[in-house]
Amino acid sequence: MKSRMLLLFSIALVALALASPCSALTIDVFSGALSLTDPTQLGRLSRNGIPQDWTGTEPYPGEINPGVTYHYEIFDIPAAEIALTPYIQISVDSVSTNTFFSVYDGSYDPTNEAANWLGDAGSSGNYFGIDPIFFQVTAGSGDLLILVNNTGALNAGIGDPFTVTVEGFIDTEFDDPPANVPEPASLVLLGTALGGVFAAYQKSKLVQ
Amino acid sequence: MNLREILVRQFRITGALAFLAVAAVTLQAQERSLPDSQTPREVTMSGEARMQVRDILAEKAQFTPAQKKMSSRLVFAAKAARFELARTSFAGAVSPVATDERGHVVVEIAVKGAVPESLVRQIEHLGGQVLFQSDRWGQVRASLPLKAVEEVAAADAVASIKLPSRARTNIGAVTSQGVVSHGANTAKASGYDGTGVKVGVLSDSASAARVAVLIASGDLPPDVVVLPGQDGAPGTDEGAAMMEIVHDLAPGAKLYFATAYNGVASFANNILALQAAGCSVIVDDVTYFDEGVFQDGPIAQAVNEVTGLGVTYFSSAANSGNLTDGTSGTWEGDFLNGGVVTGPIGVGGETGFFHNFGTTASPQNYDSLTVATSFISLKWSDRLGGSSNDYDLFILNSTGTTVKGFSAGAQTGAQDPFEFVEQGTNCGTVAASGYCPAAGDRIVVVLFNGESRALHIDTERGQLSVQTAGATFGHNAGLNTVSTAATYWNSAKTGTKLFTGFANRTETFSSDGPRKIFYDPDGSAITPGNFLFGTNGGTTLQKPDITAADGVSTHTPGFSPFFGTSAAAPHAAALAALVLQARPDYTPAKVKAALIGSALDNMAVGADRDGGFGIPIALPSINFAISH
Repeated sequence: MKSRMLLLFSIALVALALASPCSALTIDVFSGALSLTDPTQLGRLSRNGIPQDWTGTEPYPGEINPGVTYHYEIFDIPAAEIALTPYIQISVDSVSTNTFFSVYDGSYDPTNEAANWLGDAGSSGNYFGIDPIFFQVTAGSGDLLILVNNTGALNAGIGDPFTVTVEGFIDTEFDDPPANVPEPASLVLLGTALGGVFAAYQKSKLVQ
Repeated sequence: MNLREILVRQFRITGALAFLAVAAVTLQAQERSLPDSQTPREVTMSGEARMQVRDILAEKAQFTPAQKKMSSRLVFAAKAARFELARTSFAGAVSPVATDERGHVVVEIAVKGAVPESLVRQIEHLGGQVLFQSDRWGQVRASLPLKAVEEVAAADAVASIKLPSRARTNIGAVTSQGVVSHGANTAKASGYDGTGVKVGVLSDSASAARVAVLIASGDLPPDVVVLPGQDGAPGTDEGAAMMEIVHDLAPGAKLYFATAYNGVASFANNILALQAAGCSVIVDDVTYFDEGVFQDGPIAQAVNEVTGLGVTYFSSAANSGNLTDGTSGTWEGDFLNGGVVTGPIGVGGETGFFHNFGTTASPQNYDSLTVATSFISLKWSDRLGGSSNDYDLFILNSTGTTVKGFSAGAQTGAQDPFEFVEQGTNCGTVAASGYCPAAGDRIVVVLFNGESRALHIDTERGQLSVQTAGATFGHNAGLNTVSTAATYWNSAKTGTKLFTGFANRTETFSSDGPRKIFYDPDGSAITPGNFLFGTNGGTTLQKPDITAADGVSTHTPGFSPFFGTSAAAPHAAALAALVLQARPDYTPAKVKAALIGSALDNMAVGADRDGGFGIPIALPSINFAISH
């Protein structure tokens, strides 16, 4: 299991007391592709065409192809980073129809894919070949585990690139945490040169 | 076959919809993309196809006065029902019409003036039933025995009879991402939520059950009003999903709903009814296939009327593709003489001319479907209800050896300038009947009799090898409609952020403009005697007007995500509600100006045929209104 530490933490500052931030709290943005060295599992989640949303009504889709080997990779968002923003929206920019994204709470057991499942994208590949697909989950008590697996036989999907944007909100109306909430402890990213604090602010131009 | 299934066919943009990748062309509105080969291509047909076309036109030449009032499909279906076509060469290309268990077919009858009582009695005497009538629009919707249609057509009061218009819709607990993309959350935090404004929504349906669920979950306000008898159920509840979007961006607005799916006249009536109920903003996402292209029909006329009464009216631009992205299923331009119809489609003594989709130097007397479609229409620049130039539409297979479908109605001065070919039945099976579409099918247009006119071919989400701009039409592109294109809420691929403009391109399926019109709503020619693009006839409308978000989350099954200009239009309508809260005195023109004046260019600087004036944002629009 690959662990990724927090890359950015966005704080929206409000110039006027009544204005609320209109930029989402970006928890993480990462790109990658499955490789043949990634761990494997037998069988995979079925793609039921239903992206999970914050109502949590997507039924567990079940597994298919139990005798087929698939590669998977996990991206870990620590629980501390989403404690204030449990409403998570995940956007996946990928034209590949052979990779599939799902989310788990705290741990993932490749021999029991139903355990700790929070939701999945329902389908693969950008809408109309251009528009990133997205789905929403409500975080549990553990780390947020974003899992990607290939879906094609004979390793189809290995090497297909993707970019994932993880956003967190305090409610289902896409609200950010209020400005006076203290930052979580800053974290060092392992393996890349990026780091630091990313601040965003907005000024209202409303004529009073 | 279930009549209701035939009457209205819905098409929702879903995540599973995929377009073929077509190289983008960057031609202007009236230019055409020509095939690579410069070898002139005539309409080549086998002997069998030639005989079929000849026989079709021979039948047409024998039309009685009553038959000339009937649409092509009705005439030939009635003949087939009387076994008059059993031994003809084209019997297999005649699409059957849907009838109920009594053998009755639903038709729409256009009358001259008000609906006379004598016509109603005649319909009932023949065993039929009047389902809807409107003196205002001169329309009767009736269920009739198929064999009795011609007798009704013979009545003096009847101007035309056709099959019912087809329509489609262009897509709490769950919130639209457009709340952020359009900055409505910021506006709400500043006190603007649409309070005091009534917004009317028209779509296929908003069932009582779905509305109740959405009220319970907080996705709709508790005081939603569905006009009595107008919920449109059973349907897809797309209207409910649209209301969700309005509620997300303008949670203080009061919402009304009425179906647009009971025919053109009913749709027009419901537009008026929503205005009468106090709505100052109205939005719909419906296109009727037989709306006029070059002249406002009843729906657009209703829009014009309510606009004059203070309503700001929004509609989806439609999802039929655009020339910029190479997804256009539209061809629009002037008739170009491609040569006399001889031998192949000629009938002894008859005259007619092919339309040339190419150029004089490099003619091509057909256009090809690169993406198949179940509906192909040909319309031309004659007055609605007064066409005297007779054009016909033929669909051949990809090698020109067989006529697969046709529409050869008569236009003798009282008909609409339309010909339609619709998908037949049991396609893909041995029992296939009528037109069964396939990529590669050839579209052939013939000027049977009359003068050159501007032509408009629409393949309703198909795609053409020779394509132009100008997809949006009808009330979707009306003079007084704020026509709305679509951009994905995450088109910039940066997550849930405010739109920025050029990073937010319109969707590849969003219908483009502009929209040429040649007639005023009353049928008066705008440029008398000049009905061609090439001579700058008529007037050209900048359409679409604006762009708004789609691909958003709703709580209505089947509409999450909710794609299409059907989703975009309610976002725009909600922003109008916010502007009107700030300026209740604002006229529709000023509301539109506020949205446009602060819009972010997204496709080109200034107005363009794809995104209009760009993407309106809530607070800048409100501020514009406050300061102007």
